[in-house]
Amino acid sequence: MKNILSMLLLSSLIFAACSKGAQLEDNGKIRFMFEPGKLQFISSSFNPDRQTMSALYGNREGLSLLEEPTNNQGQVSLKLVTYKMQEDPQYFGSKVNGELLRVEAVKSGKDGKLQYTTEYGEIPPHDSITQRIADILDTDPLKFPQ
Amino acid sequence: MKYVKQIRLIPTTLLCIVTGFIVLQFFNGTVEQKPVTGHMRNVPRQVELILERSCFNCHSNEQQLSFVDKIAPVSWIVNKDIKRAREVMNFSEWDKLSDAEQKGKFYAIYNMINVGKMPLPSYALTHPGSKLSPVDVATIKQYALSLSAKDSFIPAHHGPEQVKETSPTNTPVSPNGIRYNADFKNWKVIGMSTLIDNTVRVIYGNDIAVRAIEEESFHPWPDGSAVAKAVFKQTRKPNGDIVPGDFVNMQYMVKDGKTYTDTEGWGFAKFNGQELKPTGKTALFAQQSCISCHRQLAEPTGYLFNVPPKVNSKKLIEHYLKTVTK
Repeated sequence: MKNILSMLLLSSLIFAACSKGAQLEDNGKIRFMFEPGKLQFISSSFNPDRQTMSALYGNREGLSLLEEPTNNQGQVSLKLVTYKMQEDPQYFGSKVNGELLRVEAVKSGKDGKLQYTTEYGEIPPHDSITQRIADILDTDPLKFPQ
Repeated sequence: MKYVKQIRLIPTTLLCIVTGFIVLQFFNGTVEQKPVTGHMRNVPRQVELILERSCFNCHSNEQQLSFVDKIAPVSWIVNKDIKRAREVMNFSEWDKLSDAEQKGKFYAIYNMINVGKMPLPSYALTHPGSKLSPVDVATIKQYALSLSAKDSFIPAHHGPEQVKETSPTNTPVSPNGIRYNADFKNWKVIGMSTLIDNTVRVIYGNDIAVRAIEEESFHPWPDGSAVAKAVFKQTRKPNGDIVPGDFVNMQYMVKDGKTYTDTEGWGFAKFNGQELKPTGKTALFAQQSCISCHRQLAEPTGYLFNVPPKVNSKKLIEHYLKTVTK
């Protein structure tokens, strides 16, 4: 009897542990929210042709540069986070950001010039670094009622 | 002898039941009669017929109730359902909705019938004629998609920002007491979305909501969770990107299980346009226009849409996070 109880208890614990694990990840897949650190969210975009959805983050200097392109002062830091665009599983007609594709960064170098790097993923095919920087700098920050 | 006594009780019992049934009819209410102010316009007749057959008996002012529906106690349930259905969507007062609201409602209709939440299974069981066939569902879907196709994008702004920003003098407050909270700009972006009503949406979550997502602990969401959704019109750029244009509204969901008992613990608020005009005349607006869809379609994620989907490889994300934190 004691053995049976012990086995039941052990089984319950294993089942509970598995259930918890299954909630946090499904087949090695997890939910992802980009952690911008000290950067602020600036704007979003999506591209129906490429089926991507992007979020641009930046520091104060980066925001100033977007608002006034001649205002390239201080240490600019901008990050463009691009996801696959996918159907919203809960609502027909809605599309949401899905799998993370790439994280691109534009930062001021030591010489003050802007430098481009990819922190995650790869630069889109047929795009040049110059084009990528131009696209990132061509972002209008969101406008909210004041 | 024992059985004879029991048999003698049968007529008495039946008499009591019949008397009780008759008495109930004195407390029988009727459906409130309301006028038809305006139907959907420019809708294919095929779509109209489906809606009339499956939806109008509850979601309109034009009920065609059966004899059984009018008898108490069934009538009590029917009347309650009709009252609630009219609050959520009323096809006889369709003209009271703006174009955007009409389109939004129609997407909601398709989403509800697509997952079999409408007509209510209990209603369909007693009213077999209201059941929708796969062809009916496809017809509704086709019409919903056609609404999107009629739209055109707003051209991108060129030169200086053309949107005139006005400053609301006081912090706007929703009828249920939820205040417009500009602090959402400091919250984490938990997702982005676009809807075929041609809007772009950015969804922010406060620390409590973000932690709940990270820990997969949103059944239920902890009190204090708050989510803000900023809605913009779409603007197309020359490179094909579609970006947020003019501001449309801010929507909030605030979790307080003790306060918002009628809406699954969530308080809803919406502030529209540059003036941030609150939606709703009374605190009941959330019961009338918000919770219905959230309850039926977003139950798996604690009645909140836009929880990030589980689509990212844990291995790749962990590798990325290690490289950026070096």
